[in-house]
Amino acid sequence: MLEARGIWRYFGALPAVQGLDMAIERGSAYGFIGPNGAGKSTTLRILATLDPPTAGTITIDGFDSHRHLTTVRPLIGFMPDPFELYEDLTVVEHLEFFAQAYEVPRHQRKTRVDAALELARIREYRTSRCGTLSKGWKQRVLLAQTLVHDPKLLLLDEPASGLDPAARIEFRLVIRALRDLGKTVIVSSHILTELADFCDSVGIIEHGRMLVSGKIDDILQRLDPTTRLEIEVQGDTAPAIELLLRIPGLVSVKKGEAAGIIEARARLGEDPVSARVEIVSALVAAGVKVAALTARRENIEDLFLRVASEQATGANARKELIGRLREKGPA
Amino acid sequence: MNILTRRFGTGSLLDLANNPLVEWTARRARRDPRSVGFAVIYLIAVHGVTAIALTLMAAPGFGLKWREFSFFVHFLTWAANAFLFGLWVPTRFAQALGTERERKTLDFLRMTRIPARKICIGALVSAYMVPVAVSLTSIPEILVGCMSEDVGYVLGVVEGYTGLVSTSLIATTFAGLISFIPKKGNQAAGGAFLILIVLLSAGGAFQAPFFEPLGCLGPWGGLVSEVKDGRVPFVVKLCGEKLPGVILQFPLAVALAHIFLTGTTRRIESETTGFLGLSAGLKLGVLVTLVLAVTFSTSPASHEGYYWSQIEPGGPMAGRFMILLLALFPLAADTAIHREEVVRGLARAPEPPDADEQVAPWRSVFALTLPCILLASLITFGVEPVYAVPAFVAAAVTASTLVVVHFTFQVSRLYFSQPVRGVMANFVLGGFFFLPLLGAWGTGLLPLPAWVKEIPTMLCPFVAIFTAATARDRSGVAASGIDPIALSFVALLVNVLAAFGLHALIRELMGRAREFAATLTVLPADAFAPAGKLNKKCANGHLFSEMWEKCPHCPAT
Repeated sequence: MLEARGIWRYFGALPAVQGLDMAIERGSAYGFIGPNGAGKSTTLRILATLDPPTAGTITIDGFDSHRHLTTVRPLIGFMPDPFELYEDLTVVEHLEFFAQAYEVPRHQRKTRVDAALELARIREYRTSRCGTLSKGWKQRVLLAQTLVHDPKLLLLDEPASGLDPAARIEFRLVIRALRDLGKTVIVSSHILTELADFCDSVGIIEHGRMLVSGKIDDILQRLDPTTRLEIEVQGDTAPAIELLLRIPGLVSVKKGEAAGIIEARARLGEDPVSARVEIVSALVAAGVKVAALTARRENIEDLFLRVASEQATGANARKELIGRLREKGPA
Repeated sequence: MNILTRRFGTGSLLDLANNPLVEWTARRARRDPRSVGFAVIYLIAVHGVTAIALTLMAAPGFGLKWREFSFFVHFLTWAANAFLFGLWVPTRFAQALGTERERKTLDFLRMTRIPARKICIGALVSAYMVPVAVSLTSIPEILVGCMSEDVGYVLGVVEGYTGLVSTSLIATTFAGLISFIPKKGNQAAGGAFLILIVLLSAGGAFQAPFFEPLGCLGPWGGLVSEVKDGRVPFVVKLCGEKLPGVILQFPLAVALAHIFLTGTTRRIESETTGFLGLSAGLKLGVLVTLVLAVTFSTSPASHEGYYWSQIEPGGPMAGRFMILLLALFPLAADTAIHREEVVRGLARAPEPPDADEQVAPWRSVFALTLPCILLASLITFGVEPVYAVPAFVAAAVTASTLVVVHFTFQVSRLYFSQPVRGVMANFVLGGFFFLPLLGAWGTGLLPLPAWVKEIPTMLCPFVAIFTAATARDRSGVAASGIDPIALSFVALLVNVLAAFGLHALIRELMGRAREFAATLTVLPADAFAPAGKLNKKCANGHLFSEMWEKCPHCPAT
């Protein structure tokens, strides 16, 4: 659906986007992750054809966006951040205006507007003036506006910023529904838990450069093929650690922060369940009282923190970021 | 698709029925308290004051006569409409476009199927909608004016309002064009308002000797055109006939409005491009040239106000070339291509760059030189052959100055980044135009031969143009006794040398841009950059991992 090759964007001497490469399949959801100022919004504006890249080509649905601008634009639904609406229009008027601007046939306009209102779950505010709505509701109006012409590609820049946790969960459901409807969705966010649920693949961007891109599991596998194990034992952990260090396949073993917890990284091979059973059996045979062994699957948050710059996040800043992510994420 | 759309195509001025912006702005205007408030003020100002005047006329013993009443009512209504269409509408148009940009709703509109021209025309028509509706209520007052002897009856009123419409068209479309300079809607409105006030305040400029064509090109001619009684006649001499200026001004206003709207449309399409572009800029240049040529006359009859028994062609020629220099200055500056566009075009290789992405100095030289030569050729038709040489030398000085201006902006745009480049170019040009005058003042203090003292002054283009154009006039003798044409050649030579120097710089900077564009390659998302290790930067701006000694993305390094 979308292919971007070698996208560069300079603001004066400052490279905001550097040699970006992206390929996104039709009907997939792509998470665009990066810290503030990484170049996410700039990239999305370029993909939305609103800003020209300094170099690079973008193909949307088979059309070169530079050469076929008028063909490509109606295929896109773009939700920028920040944004403003026509505040003196009511929600339904606002949507009708954009339906007309997108040349939705007159007999279909009402249906389309109703469908967009339904999908964005803002039907009860249809007669309210846009200027009187809170930010969260305005965001839904904008989503409805983005959908009113039935675009094939959705570019959503921080769509859930400023929403309360409940609204954010609802927003995720909406985006998942859109993906299920066959839309290609690109969502940028720095709130990672938002993306983990519905993104098929992600791209991590920093300083305008794509650090990694692909399916979450593939990236994790490529970055580190080991699995993180958490073993809870009763009593002293030292003999257990000594024993574990002798087991082939375990690449690192250390005492965890909590009492009785051992953290290890292991290459579990093709049959991870049997490998875990073997580890537990070895510990039990040596007289270690094993309370639990958990293979912790890394998630998008871990991925970001491992890939994103230590300079940017630093030791303290990283802790702060984790705290903030947890605080901001939905309950 | 309605009949007008079929006939004129989408995006034309007459395709309003298919323009959602027009329809929706009409709805929104009804809710806009500013529109309602303004309408009330207008109605009170026009109808209220007219009612008071009518009462005074009817009041026994007050002595207000019909003749005075009708003139007063006409002038009041005309002034109110002049404010409405000469200032209010342009300001609102600039504000509307500026606000759409500021709030980023213009981005939403760009993404729709509405073409940029339709967005532009939609905003323009919307700006006129309420004022036209309100001003229609002043028809009775206008009819009263038609019965006024002092106004010139129907013809005087028609002339006055034709001039007003012309003024409004030029002012509004020009305000739309400049609304893209600031970033905020209110700044755009304020800027447009101030610029228009300055332009309108310069209402007397076209009466200055040899600057009569400004009455056609600017908005001021129309504003004074209705003032009769021989006080401020706005006349042009067309093919030997003395005609009301508005006859020439109206078609010109339409043409200028078209050119300015094209510029505004370009900016709506893409904010990174120049305002007018070469094509629209060239149209503007040719249009100005034709106006300057058809209004050129050495007949004393067309210069009644100057008390000259005989007009020599040098003065009018000099005035026209100076106007042409000022009119083509924006084209010379605006057509210089930014480095970003040049790099974008080069990076698309082997695909050829777009026209807007190519630095083609000779194309601009042609576009800037053509109007100057055209004007010189047309002017020499009406004068004795002896004046042909001054005309062409003045044209050459004008053209070479414009080429230097263009090249200076081009070098600045290729070398500096925003916002330095604009400041630098203006700084250099300021020096280019005014430093020679300072130099002349300096050399004037020194005990030097007269011809040495004259040379620095000649480097100021305005002085050089005037000296060249008036070289064969009786008054055209330099203090040093040297032929003024020779002095003008000094200016010409300096310009030509400067142009060659700047052209060499452009070539050098283009080479650098080409090298830079070659470094803009795909940087794969890969394991070269493990966590937090993108901490080295090459001279070309590529970030790369510290594990590399040299930038892996630059083949040259």
